[in-house]
Amino acid sequence: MGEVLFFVAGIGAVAGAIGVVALRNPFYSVLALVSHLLCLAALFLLLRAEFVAAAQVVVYAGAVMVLYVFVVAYIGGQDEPLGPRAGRGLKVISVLFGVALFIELSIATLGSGLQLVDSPGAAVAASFGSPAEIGTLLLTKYLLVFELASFLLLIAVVGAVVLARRRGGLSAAEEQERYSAMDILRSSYTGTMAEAVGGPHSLPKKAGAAESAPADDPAPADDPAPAPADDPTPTTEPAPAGEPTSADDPATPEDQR
Amino acid sequence: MTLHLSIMLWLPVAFAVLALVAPPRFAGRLALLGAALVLGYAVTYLVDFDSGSGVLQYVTDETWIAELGISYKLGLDGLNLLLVALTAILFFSCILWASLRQWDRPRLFYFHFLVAETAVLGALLAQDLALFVVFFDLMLVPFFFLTGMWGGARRVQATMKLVIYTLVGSLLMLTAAVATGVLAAAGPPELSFAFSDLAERPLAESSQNWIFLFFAAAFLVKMPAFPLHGWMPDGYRAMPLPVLAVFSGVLSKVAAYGFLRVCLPLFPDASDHFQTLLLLIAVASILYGSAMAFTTTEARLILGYSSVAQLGFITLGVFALNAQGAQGALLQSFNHGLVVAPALFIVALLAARASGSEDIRDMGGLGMRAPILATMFLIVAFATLALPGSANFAAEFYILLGVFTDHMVIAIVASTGVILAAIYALRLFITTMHNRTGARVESRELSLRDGLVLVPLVLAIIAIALYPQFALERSESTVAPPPTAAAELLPGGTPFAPLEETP
Amino acid sequence: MIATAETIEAPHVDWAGLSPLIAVFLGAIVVLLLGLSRSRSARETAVPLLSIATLAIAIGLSVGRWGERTDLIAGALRLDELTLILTILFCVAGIATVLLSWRHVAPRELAHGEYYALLLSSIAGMIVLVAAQNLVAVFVGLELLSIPLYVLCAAEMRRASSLESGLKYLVIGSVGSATVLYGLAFIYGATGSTDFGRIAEVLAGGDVASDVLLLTGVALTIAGMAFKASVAPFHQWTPDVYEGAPTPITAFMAVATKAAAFGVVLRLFDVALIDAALDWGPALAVLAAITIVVGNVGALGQSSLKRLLAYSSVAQAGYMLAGVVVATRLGLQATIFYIAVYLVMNLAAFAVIVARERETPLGDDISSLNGIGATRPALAWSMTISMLALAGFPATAGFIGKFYLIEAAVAGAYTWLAVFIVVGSMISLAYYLKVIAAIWMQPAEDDGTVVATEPVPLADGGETPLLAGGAEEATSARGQGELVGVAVVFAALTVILGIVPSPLLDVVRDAGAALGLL
Repeated sequence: MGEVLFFVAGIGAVAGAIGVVALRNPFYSVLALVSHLLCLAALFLLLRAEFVAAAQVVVYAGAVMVLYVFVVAYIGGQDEPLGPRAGRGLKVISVLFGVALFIELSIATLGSGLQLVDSPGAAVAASFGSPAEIGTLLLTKYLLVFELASFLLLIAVVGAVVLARRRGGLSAAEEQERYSAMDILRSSYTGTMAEAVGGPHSLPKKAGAAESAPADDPAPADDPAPAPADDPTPTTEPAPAGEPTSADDPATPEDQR
Repeated sequence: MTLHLSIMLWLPVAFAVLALVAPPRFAGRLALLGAALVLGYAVTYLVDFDSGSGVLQYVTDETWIAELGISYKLGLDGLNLLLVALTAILFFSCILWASLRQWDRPRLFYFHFLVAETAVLGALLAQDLALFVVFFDLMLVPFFFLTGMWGGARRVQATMKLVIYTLVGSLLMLTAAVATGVLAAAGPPELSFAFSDLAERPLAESSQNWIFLFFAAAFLVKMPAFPLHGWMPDGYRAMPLPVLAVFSGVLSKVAAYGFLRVCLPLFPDASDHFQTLLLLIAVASILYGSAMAFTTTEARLILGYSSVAQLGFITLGVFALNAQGAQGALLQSFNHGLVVAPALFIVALLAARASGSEDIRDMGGLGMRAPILATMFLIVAFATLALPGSANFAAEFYILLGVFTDHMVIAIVASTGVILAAIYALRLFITTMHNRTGARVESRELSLRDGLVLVPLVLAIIAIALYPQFALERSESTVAPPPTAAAELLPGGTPFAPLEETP
Repeated sequence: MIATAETIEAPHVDWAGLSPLIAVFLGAIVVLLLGLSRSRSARETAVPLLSIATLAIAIGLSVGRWGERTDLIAGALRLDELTLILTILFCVAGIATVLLSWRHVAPRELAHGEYYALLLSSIAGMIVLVAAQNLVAVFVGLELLSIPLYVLCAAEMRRASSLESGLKYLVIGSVGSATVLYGLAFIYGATGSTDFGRIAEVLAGGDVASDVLLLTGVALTIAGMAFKASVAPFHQWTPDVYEGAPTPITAFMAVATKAAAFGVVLRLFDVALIDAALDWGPALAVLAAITIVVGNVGALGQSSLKRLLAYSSVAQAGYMLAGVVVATRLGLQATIFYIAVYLVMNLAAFAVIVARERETPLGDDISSLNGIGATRPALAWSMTISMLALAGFPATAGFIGKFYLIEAAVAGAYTWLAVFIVVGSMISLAYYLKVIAAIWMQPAEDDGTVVATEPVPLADGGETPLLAGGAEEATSARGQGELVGVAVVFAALTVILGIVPSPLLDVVRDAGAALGLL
């Protein structure tokens, strides 16, 4: 029974691997990879490595593959098959290397006479590789490594975030605002124009309306009409540029009237 | 009176630092003071030296780096006494020459110059193989800067070539030196690089052979000897004159000294094994150098190639592997240093009178209104060509005598070098001093400023010619051991053993 | 299979022994949080200062633990002099890197808190790596070292070459890590244990040394570590990554990463795999020889100083490998000594490069050094000393280091490797001297005039006025104090260690004794 399962899973794994590179459609490639990983998990089960098998299914066939599918769904369509763009020489060399590797592996495998298929394998305790055992090891022998791995993940996340967050790069102004976790703590209008002109109450107003800090004053709304005759400044400038004028010196429109 | 060699060794560096931080116009004077103090020390040693005992004197022996087996061991004996004196004399003369002229960035110039003096003195005084290697390699650094920063045309390329050429040899020597110490200490005794310890722990002949070749490569490049002289023409052309004078006068002698100090006593089997090879290289250098010296027209290069030939003689004497040869080689080293420096100064003076050209075809008739200068040049030229009566004659005689007993053919071929020397030395003198006056030549007498440098040097040449025993008796008692050590190990007895007893 | 409700006894934690490591971890977290501060001065001044303080504390704690030799946390880490000296070296390199980054654009672009936190966690990874004495800890340490560096390489996000550098390092580094992991798995498979001590026992016990599984594992581990230490033929990424990365990070990678890679190689090979030395020794020796030649020849044609130093670092890795090859205590000591002096020499050089990058528009091109002998004497002397030391001239630490390595190689019956070391040094002269020639022998301007740095005395006793810009400290030097400081301090150390190496040699001897080699 074990042998039959081994060969079924083994052939499945090889077929899946071939499928990953052979299929033109990226989506099918990913699916082939999933089947390959599942077959590998079966092989791990045959080795009585339940934890690794489970991890294989959950982490790779599950989480990682979902990411792959998402990525393919976003950027890869059927109209963009993964085709080899390499030159002819590269192709020939890659085939040569592949053949060489295959021959090497064949020699290694056949050289061992495939005895390992029938052999019981290395003598290990019955609990070897069980989740409980692994858990115990992580809390005793590999305690430090376990802790370090958590720090490693933290640092990896920090690295990924800093690289991803400012794709546009730093603006020339050195003191430009940056996003940081502290943003959560600050009041929502900090650093916006609203802060300069009054207070949070002006925020609900949208775009053009926000320009007037003394919101009750109707003057800004009337402003565009008389302006061409009296004072060209507010009109020649677009509305947002007019903001400072009205904010800094709200008296101006009243004087005009 | 306590005479610490360390004081003499580090005086130049102390003054170098002073010159670096002092106001620029004092740099030259400070440097001169430092060199003068060293000269004073050297003369004191020369007088105080006990020439009767063949042992190291004024020994300083401290552990420097215990883990690496390197000790700070200095000492004077017959092998290095004369060369130390020569170093002090030439550095003083050259710094005097330089300080009478204006230099761009003077503080750095004198800094490097004085560091060079310490490095040379260190290589000569070191009685520890590793220390010797340290100073031998260190010698190159200041000359790299001196040539590269104050040199003539194409100085950067020339100085790179010079440094890489010579360091190739030096680095091989580093491996060889480390191997000597490590392989010698294979037994229970602790790792040590002191010459005295190494001499007691002979190496296997197979190790000796490759180690010897590495050392020989370093020394032959530095000399330079015939096939390894590729850096010489460019280097000589590019170096500023006072720098060239010490380089040619002193550094090449350190290489010859290295053979006597390192190779012969530590690798006696290999010295014997490669004796013929080295003698052939020496003869080739003599013939090649002489031939080039009377074909080239650049005055500096004539002296450069004549140095190749003279160093060939010195090598010949060293590898005669007997006392006469070694003594002749030492005396010749001293003489050549003493002769080549004034010769180079004179070439510079002549070039100044011939509108800056150092080509001897542009000169001629320079002696017309300059009898003193001409006389000086004649004395120097006679010394170069080893006129009987000069100290060079005595030295070359010793060398040829040493070689003659065992390698008659080589000695006969080498002796033609003496004749060739006469040709190129006289050619140089005649074409510059006599002949038709050149088109752009102005004959001027030696100025007081230059006479201040030249006259003492020429007087020294005359003094040593009159009384060469002064030098010979100081080296006599020490020179015997190294060649004897080599000779004793000769298979089938020592063919030139009787000769060692004659002097 | 339900686990019984037995209680697990947690391993003993030696807090004192772990203190340097914990200090660095804590520092990283505090720096990360402080970087969120809205105050500009807190971000740009307090964060670097706190990083320096963290590293200084770690150095202090390491010095305090000197002489202890214990296992930490169930034998995952080993606290001994080797760990401690390398920890100190990493922290020194870290301090220098912080100073070089002080006004650099890289931390501003990446945000200060994150930049220095990543730097500190990389250092923490290095400490774990060199202290690790089981295979799992080795791998985690390696990743903890590498991942922050991938990000730091790409720190100057608006410069394409920096991003390219980060990506290239990520790809190559991952290949290296995967190779190491593969190799470690094989070693575990062959010996049945992840502990160095147990592996050594198994190897000493039987003829496992000729086991194909083990040899495959060793070979893969060597290959993977060679990626990290940029040993040829796994070095191709080095010049590109070094050139593209922000220069302070390049300096850090060149010295600290290399030291860490050699630290773990020393412990892994000289403790766990010491009984297989006859198998890996010749292989490493050949790698060392290839590395020396490839690195030195590669550096010859470079005009970018960073690429030049990248190739030089490849060559230097070859020298250090020679000390590993011989598998003797002497070799171990020589390697540690060389790692230390290599760090000192290179940091001086990189400080000068950073300074000149800021002062000239020429970037790290070798011509940026033209004529600084006259205008910037402090930088010029530092660079000169550093180059002379790297080339192995006497009176510098580089000479003693090479001397020691050659001694170890000859004593370990690898004389031919010693010859390779000096042949490599000869080739290296050509490019190190090129740098020195640029400093002292090239005019700063194209017209060949030399700027007078000192008043030239005139005949009448007066002095010529100084040319503008010819002063000892040019105006552009203002605000570069920390760079000049780093350059001068490390250059001075290079000379001091070249003349009085005994203190460092004593320390190294303690470290060498820690591994129990012959």
